[in-house]
Amino acid sequence: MEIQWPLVFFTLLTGLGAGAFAFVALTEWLGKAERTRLPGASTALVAMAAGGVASVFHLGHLERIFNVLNNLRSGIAQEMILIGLTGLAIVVYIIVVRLGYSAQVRKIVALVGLVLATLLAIAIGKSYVLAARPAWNTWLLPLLYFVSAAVLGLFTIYIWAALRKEEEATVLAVNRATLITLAVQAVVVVAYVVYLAVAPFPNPLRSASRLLAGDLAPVFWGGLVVVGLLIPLGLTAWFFVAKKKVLPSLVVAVVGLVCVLVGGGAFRALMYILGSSIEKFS
Amino acid sequence: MTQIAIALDLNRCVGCLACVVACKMENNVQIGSYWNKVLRVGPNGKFPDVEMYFLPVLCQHCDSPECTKVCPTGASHKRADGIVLIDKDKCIGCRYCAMACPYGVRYFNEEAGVVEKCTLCAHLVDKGQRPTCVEECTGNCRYFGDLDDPTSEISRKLNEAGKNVHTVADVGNHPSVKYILRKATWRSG
Repeated sequence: MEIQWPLVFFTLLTGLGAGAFAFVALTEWLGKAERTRLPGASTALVAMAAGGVASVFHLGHLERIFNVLNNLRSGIAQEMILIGLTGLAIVVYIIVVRLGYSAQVRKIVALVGLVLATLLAIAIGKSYVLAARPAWNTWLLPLLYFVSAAVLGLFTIYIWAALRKEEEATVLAVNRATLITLAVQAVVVVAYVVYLAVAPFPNPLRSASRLLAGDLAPVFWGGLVVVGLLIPLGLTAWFFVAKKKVLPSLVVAVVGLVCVLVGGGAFRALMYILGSSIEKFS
Repeated sequence: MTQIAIALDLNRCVGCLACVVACKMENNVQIGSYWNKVLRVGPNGKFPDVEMYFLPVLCQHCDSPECTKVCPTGASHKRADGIVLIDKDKCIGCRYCAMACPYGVRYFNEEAGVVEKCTLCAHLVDKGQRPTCVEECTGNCRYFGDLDDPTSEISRKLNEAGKNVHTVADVGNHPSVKYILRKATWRSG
């Protein structure tokens, strides 16, 4: 099917917001990166709002938006509710931090937000699991969206940790977490390609060979693999092993975020192109 | 239970496209969209053993439609008589139903901002008439009626056809449109 660009931006930005807040919540629980939390949470809120704005460009009738609550079993209804609740949790978190509430209160709010953000990151991928589209009908899709949100969120936190000059140990810990999550993402991408190769209702339009060596290969290898995975993996791995830091952490974080945004966009675009229906009557 | 549906005897279809034109005129279907279209399947095989048939494709008015399950607004719904419809006053144009349809027979109307598809001419059915594609079929290949009524014309024709009755691919949605094809290989589903 045609690439739905508003939804590409919606899932990228919402994933970034959910991922960023999830890691803000984790730092709250771990008692680390205190200076990063507030700007991290604010960035998450702005990203989710921008994602919400992007999504309305996909709709034919925005004025009827609250009709989406008529069927709560629908993936779109679940996404909308989770976005609202996660956004609310982030706002409450920012308020309790700004007003200087106790660590216990902050942790409770952060935990609620962490659970909601995790569910949201999964929900935006789960909506695409449809029996009608064999390339999408796999639990690997929500897993990919979840890992993508984690990577986007981690690089966002990484940027703020570098900007706010957190302790070196904290920056290194964020770098290590990002490196591990990128490696997990690479494994899930490989698993998804294997799924495409063995998926039911085989069709050249949605085949692994089209992705690996056909007309989609430049986007797959260039956009997703090299830019979206190998460059950020290489940067974080280099930062991890190098004794002398040649590149400042901020450069690693900014370049890494740009790369995973490009890679995430490439994956989502490929997903739409591969998402042909079982019977393509045309 | 009632399941209003259409059965098509593909051995009678001559591919004249009268049903396509009639559907467009009756339902004012926008340019580029085809609530009912006719595809040519084949020719397949090697001369002299070649075969070909025409396949009219429309909303399958599924028994367990995926489109109604995913529709967040309830605009896509299944009536008591089995016809799947879209309430255009409720639709927000999110196109999730079109993604969930296994057959690509839902169309987004850019001008109206809503999704549209074959209604089985519910406005005519409600007046006791038959869908316009059935009425205008030059080969008399379309049978219309209640699949759950064993005395209906559609049920009798399907009974007569026996093992020559086919459906398009079924992923749990149970398409209601039936295709009768004899002496040729069914190439869908």
